Amino acid sequence: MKKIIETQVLIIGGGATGTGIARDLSLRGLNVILIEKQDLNAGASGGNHGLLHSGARYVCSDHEAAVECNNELNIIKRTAGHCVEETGGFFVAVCGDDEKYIADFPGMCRAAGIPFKSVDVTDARQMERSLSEKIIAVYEVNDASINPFKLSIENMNDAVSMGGQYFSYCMLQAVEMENKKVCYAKIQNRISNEIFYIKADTYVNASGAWAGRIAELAGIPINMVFSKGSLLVTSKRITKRVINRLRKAADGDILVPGGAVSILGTTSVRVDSPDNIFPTVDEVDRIITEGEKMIPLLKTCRYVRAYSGVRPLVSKGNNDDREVSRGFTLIDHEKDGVDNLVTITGGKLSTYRLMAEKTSDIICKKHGIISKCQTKHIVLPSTKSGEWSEPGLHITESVTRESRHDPILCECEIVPATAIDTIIRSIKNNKGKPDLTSIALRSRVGKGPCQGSFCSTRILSHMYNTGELTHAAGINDLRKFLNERWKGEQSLLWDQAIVQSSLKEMIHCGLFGLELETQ
Amino acid sequence: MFESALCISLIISISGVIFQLHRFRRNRQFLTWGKCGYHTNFFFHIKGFILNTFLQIKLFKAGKIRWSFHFLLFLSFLYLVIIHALHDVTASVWFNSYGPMVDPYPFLRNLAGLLALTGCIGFLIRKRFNHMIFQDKRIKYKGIFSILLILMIVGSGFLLEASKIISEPVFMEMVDMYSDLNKGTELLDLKLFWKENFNVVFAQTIEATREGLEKGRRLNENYCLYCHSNIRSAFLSSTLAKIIHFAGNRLNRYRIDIWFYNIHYMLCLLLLICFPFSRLFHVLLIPFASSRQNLTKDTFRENKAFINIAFLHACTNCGYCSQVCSVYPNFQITGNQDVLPHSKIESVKTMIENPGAVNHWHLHAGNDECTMCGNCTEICPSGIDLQSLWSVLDKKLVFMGYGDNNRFIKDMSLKEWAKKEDVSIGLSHRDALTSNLSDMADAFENCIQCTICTNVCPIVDYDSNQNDITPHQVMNLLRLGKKHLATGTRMVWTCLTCYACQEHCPQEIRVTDILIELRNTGSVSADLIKQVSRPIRRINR
Amino acid sequence: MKDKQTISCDLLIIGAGFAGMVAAARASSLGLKTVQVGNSSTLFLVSGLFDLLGVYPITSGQSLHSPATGLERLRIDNSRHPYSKTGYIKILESLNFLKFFLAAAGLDYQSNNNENYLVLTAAGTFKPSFMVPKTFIKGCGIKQGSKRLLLIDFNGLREFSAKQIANVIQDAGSDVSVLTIEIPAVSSTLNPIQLANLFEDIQFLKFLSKKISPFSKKTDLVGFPAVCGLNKSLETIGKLEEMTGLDCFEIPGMPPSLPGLRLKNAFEKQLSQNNVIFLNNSKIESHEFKNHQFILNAATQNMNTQITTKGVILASGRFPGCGLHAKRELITETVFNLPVFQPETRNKWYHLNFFNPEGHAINQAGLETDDAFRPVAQNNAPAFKTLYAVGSILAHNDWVRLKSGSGVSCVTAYSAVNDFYNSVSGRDTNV
Repeated sequence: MKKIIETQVLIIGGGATGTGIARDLSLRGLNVILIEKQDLNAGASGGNHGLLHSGARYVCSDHEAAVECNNELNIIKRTAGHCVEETGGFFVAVCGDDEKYIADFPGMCRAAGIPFKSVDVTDARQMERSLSEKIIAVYEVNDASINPFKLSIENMNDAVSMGGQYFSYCMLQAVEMENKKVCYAKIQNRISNEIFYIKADTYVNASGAWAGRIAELAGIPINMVFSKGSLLVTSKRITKRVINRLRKAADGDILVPGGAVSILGTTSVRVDSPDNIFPTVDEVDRIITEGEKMIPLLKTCRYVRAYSGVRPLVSKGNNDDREVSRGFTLIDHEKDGVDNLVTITGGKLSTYRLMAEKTSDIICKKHGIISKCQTKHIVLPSTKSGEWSEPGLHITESVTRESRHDPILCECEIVPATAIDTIIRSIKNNKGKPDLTSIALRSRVGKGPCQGSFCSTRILSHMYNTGELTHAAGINDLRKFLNERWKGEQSLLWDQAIVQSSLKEMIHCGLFGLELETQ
Repeated sequence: MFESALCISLIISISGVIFQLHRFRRNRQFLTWGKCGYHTNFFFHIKGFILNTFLQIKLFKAGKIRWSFHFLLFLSFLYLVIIHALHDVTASVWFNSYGPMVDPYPFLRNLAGLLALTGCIGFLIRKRFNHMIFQDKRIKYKGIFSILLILMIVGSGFLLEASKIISEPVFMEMVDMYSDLNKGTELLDLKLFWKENFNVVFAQTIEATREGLEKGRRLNENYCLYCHSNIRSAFLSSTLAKIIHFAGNRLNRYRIDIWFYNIHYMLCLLLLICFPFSRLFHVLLIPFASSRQNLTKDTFRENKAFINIAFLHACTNCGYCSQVCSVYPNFQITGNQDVLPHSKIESVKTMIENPGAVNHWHLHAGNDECTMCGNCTEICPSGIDLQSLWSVLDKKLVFMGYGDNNRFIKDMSLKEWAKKEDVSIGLSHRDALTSNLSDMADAFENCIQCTICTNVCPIVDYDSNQNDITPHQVMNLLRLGKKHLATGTRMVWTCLTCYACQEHCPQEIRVTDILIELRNTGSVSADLIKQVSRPIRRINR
Repeated sequence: MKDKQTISCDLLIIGAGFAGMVAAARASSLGLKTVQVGNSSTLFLVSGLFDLLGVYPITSGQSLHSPATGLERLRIDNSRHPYSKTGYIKILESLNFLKFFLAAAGLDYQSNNNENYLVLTAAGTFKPSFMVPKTFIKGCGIKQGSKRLLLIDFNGLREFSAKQIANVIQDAGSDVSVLTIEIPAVSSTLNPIQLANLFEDIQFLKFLSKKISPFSKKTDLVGFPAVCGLNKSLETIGKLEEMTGLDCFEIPGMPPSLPGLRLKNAFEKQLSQNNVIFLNNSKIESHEFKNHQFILNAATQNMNTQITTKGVILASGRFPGCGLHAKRELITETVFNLPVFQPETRNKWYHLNFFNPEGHAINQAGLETDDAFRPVAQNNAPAFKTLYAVGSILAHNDWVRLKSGSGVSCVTAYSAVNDFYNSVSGRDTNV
């Protein structure tokens, strides 16, 4: 007996676009289910700067993208203000940068209608004290930083509140075609290994870098190219504003502040597969070498973590991945002979809403619904479960918490037990299984300098005490969590970070013997 | 007419004194509340009067030069009041030979006038040049009125005398009154003699002859000398007369002497009226303030204080207290006038009359610097027990809700602090609050979350329920960019500075040094917040 | 202005971690005038268990039953490992010396007939260890035995959950019950040292035993987190056993560790009795060697100390002890700038898998020495005649994975001091 769940729209992929579409369609009155083979923002939506572009970065390479960014920036600031920090941004050129690019920049901005302001170099160094002495030109723009985790959590929560459903760790295994249409989606729950089917009227492939694979299941070839970008997280916020290098896009030229940290990136490395990507030592060194030209402090400061994301690009035969348009690709597969499948991929976080809007328009057309996009106007509601993912912004709240019986479980980022409980509840509400990794995704747990050395054991104890964990499951969970953290640490261990990681190994391997086979 | 003016002035003056004393009595509650009872009855201390008001021995101890100026001014003015102004009821009765123009009285009068003038000018010069102490605007012009009044009275007196010297009409009046000389050469001779020797200016031209002069001298001996000595003994006035001699005719025609007389008289009445309301009142109040105990440091051994509202008004704003104040250097650094006793006492006076006009936080901050060394009380020429006043003031301010920063911060929840801190301190200030360690990431970034500092902290051990956050959490707050939050935490303010955390830190983070620095930063923030927020509680009268 | 002082001594020990402490203990026992600089707080971070060799070969993924057999293989496989420069007998001798030294300070350790104990940890796993504090002994047989177990935890002690241990070891078939002690005065967080302080109070022990008494029929053995008293832990455990009538033991957990603190206190007490001069929180800022003597400058924030010494034992540890410093490009030795054995590039420092059974290459990094543990310079000759390197700073020694940290520290420190003593005095400690 097949277990079949019926819905109007099935969205595959829980990134910013997927959750954005889920909300957009829900607002238009459609019934949606979103499946994600891991958890929210597991792909590029979680592996980026968290930068809302003013568009100025694209003025010279992609006029259209620049204009889009500028429009979207204003809409997102208005409708999802609680996910955005209006930092403002600088474009700085340092001694030796391309003079022509610097000279062209103002004109191009003006052409794209992007507001900017020239800033005196001395003033700029007053405003951002860590800027290098060698900077030669500074322009101020409207860049902002956004918390992509909060954004996706809130989008999904809003969709769920309107009747949508979210299945995490559910992977699309196959599709059954019938009559030029996708009829069923065969889905495997990766935790319980249960197989079930979802029958929807239309299917949206919003799986980002994995879009090619999903399309392939329906027999449609999409030629995807994967460009890996790696980013570094500092232990302390370095600048007030977003700092961009005023030059043709290259490695290590954007520093984005996000709450209590700064994120430095990025690189562009062609990879064969979007799976199992991690930052390498070479990338880390390259990013720092470039970054320190703008901000010398980046050479000496402590980094807590590095991570990578894959830019999903639809190949058009170019060589340099940054030259490939960062605009998005929206394909209605009617032309390929599948009437009810739409693929949306490419693009960037800054334009996620626009991508969702355009996709939803096509879906509505297929459903014969005439309905206007509302995400432009309706403000995204703020919910409790999203707020713990804010880097550093909730701190005042947790330090001044009223309850005296609420121990802090994550000391680095000051996350109290009640927050963990809230997150566990919300994971369970979404039919997920709470474990260290999924808690860490929804909170700042494990993101501080100790990278989970201490908080992991405290949260584990807490979960055992509250009955969330039984048997030896927690030990495996701990291994998985520490290993996941490790992937982000191993490339940037030197100076102080290596002291911390040595301590981590002393505790978890030396004392607890977690590296040994299950005893 | 003059008599009735005098009577009215006298009545005003006496009722003024009564009013003032009543006011002091009414406000006595200010210095008594709860357990801090200080004695409020006040007595006129004879000993205090003799030693401190009359001899001004405390002033003598404080500064010899100033004492000499002040004492001479005091003595000479006293002489002028008693012997000159009140001569009808004093000198004339006491001394048979007394006459205003009989030697040595004109000389003494001139001398007293001169000394009074010198005293006044000395006062003004000190006011002008001792600017460090008299920066306070409230004090800058205090006492000037009284001094100028005295200056004008004495000045007008001299002018009156000079104008009388040159006056023909006055001469003629006296001739009419004291001689039978009517016309003719005899009168002319006398005139000649007075013209030549006494500088009288006559409208008609008088031929000067040897014989005429000789005759005039003899006539002078006959009629005038008995009660009118040589004008030269009034040395200052006669000099002045010589100066205005050239315009004598015109002045005589307008009877300038009468004008001067009226002015002189009115000024004196004004002085009388103003006495209870001006600086001059201190003459009467010092004997109250100068109780025997208040004259020495021994008061403090007895652990008693003798403070009274009236004493506050015995203050002459001389500023000696501030010159010897132990925390004068603190004033030089903070610039807070309320550190200095002479300024603080003004604030206290204002606080009683018009609490809204006083920045209580400021006053508390200043008073808080006091080390209770007792220097101010010891030197106070008025004999005020300033030291006790400060300790009373301290309790009073705390009672009113203007405690020190430690209390200020501990009294509010961290949430409140975070909010207030955010609102009150603009970005520009925030930059000014940057300090060494807590802004440098490498000072705390090395933390490996081992929590040893928290484990060895005696405060955490003793006071774990009261304490909001612990040392390693302070380090984490700094890394998270929440320095302002950290400055308001109980940990920062209860730290014993035992240095256990710093000694034990395996990463050699200067935990204690950072905590101390945060406390200092928090104190500055608290001061800024206080400046923004209005006083909380008004005085309960 | 900093204060200045000068000291001269026979032997300077740089580092106050475990190896440094053993070296100071040995040196002072031999009557050498000893000065020690460093920060003894790193002992808060050690487990307090003395491991000799808990895993061999490194990829076996298994606890080693008998260290002697593992050691034999190690000597054959890896001639550069510090253990290969000494022998099993020597290791036992050094551990015995340490055992007696600590016993004199009231801290008792016990070993298990040349076999590893399996010590239950706070995670619920078992750690192989050679010599353990006596307060741990009774819990060492749990894995094999079939005793009924009661595990105690405390509200507010965040890193220790009796339920967690019970759940994890229940799979192995043990009969476990749990009990959470609510300490009324505690709100949210209880720090281990605070809790240990409570154990010093007899009233608290009575309170505990009253809570435990309902379980006395259904349990044989009571396990506590390792917080039972600051210094007289064995006495405290004894009292608890007397009151409850049950066997009690401690379970090691997350730092800051009480067994580590007890070790620190015991060492400091004995060393100060032995007149070792301890310059706390000092750092060696400069050094020179002339006329067969070292002249070093040890600095704190407000004191400069000039130390003249005949010999130096470098026990400054690896990265946490700052003996080695990892820059982005390479690893250096911080005091004498000695050559450091290390992987060629940072690429090779770490595996992508944290739990890679081979261990990370960087953990093989460190100083290479001759057979007397004198670090060698580029030419493979000792850098200085009387400079020794001991403990975790030594290369080819992944002590975390092999569970051999204390053993290596102990035997190298012991041997190095002996060698120095022999060379200075002309006598032989073996005689």
